Amino acid sequence: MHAISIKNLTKKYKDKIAVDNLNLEIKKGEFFGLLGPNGAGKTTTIGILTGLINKTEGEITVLGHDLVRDYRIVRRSIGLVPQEFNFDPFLSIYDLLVYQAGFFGIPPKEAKKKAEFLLKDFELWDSRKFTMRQISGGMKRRLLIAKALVHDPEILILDEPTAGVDVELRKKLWQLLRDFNKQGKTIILTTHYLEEAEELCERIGIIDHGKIIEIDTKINLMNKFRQDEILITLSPKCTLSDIEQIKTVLKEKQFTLKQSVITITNIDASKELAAIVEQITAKYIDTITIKQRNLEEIFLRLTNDTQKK
Amino acid sequence: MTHKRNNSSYFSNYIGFYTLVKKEIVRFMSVAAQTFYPPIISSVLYMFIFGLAIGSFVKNIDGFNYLTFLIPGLIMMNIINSAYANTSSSLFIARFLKSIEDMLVSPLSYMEMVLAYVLGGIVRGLLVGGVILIISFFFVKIPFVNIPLMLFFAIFTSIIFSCIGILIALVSEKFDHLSILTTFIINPLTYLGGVFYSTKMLPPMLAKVTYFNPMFYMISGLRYSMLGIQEGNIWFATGLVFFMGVGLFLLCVYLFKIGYKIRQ
Repeated sequence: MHAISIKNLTKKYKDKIAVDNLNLEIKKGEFFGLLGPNGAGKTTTIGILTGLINKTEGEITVLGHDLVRDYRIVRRSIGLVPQEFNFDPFLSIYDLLVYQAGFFGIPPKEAKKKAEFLLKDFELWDSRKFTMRQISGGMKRRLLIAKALVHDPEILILDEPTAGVDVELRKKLWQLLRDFNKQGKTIILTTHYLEEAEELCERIGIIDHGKIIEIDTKINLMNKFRQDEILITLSPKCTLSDIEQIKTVLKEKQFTLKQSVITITNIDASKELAAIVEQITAKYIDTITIKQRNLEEIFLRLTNDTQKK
Repeated sequence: MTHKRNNSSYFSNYIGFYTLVKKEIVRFMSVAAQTFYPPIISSVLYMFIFGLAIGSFVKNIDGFNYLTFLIPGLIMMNIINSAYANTSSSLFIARFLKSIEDMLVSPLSYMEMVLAYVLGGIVRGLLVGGVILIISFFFVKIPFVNIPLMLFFAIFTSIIFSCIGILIALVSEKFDHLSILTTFIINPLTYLGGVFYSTKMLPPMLAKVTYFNPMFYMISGLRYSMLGIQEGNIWFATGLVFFMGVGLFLLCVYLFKIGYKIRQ
């Protein structure tokens, strides 16, 4: 059974299709990343999953339960960390957690214990009497995660959880998410920080114009779009005729030669480097540097491709 | 951790429902200086000015002095305003500051959500009305002709205006919109619905026009149940208030279910 199964999901607004026939399956216990540029449909998809947005068409099951028919069970299984802060001007952050637990059917005594545990765990206990408006941005982010965990959900959905958070706190939150995932919980993360997805997610879906344009494990995705850059610095002993010979060897490749540095682009270094070194012969080579394409470059290439289409 | 998991029924998340009702009551009590004391103070002033000072110049109405006649009208006027203000401001603020999302992502049913908001309005309406009634005991003697009917009119009028408050909170885009209904519709209809006078004091033509004002039936219904003064048909008033309450409640549940202005 999948944690989440989305079939032919479409969300149409008056003049815009936000999600376009999207299909996606997320396994139980998976750490899944949903990446895409602004307006790609990430937040809309998450909004539909969590009951904040109505779908136009399509079927969604969460842990085998229909999103619409079994909405009570589905909502108990999901914890949402929204992208934007929301405020309740009347409540302290402690009361906010107690009430949130209550909404999920947790009895008052247990809700108070849970709120205390989470506030302490997220280092917010000293600020428990403050309202949401009175705490810092980083504390607000932590509180949103605590609020999403208050009913002990099976699936945690985080929409840009580290936006505007400093590096130290971001690393702390990453560790927290890793720990949560280790408990067997499913995590779905949307992020603009591709480093974050690269660091945390096992599988990544890239969404653009409301469609999944690529989905695979992080490793497969990086291998699939692997287009490294090899920089070979030639030895000072290299004569002009040696260089001409090397140019002939590399005539099938995309390369440039500038001041005794050969830059070969769009190449899979893991497969082709050994053959190149052999052909050029090692004695002409001073140093070799390999630049691997990261997720960010893959992401940009894929989303640029769809824009061109 | 195990919690009730009945999915199909409209009403099964009792703890969630209790939590939302409590939240609504705590909310208005935490700002009692804005929500609770002003209607009480203004009612006491009305009692003093219209009842004790000016009232002595008004002849008895159906055997009751003017202040006694005034009390049910004052109570109903404040029930109407308090119930409306409670749901309209609470839901609008929740929409405006997006805290409504905390409720929408939870396993509360739409019926539970609306009922909790309406109960918040009823509690505020009855609390304000009840305190005004208790204060009135210092000035007048009320015979209480039919207490169940009195409670019926008080509760159902609270339901009606709590639901109207919900509807206005859903359609409003700015805070100003909430007061537009109060200023241009609720207050005029309440004042012209017989809070301060009997239709017998009006020229026959204006008395007939008053019968088209639904507030008239709420006010005269409560006055009948408290004093026994009958204006208009009490059965019609009872039916009208009942069906308005049920109809508006079901409309609110429907709008929550389709997510009107609360879900995109």
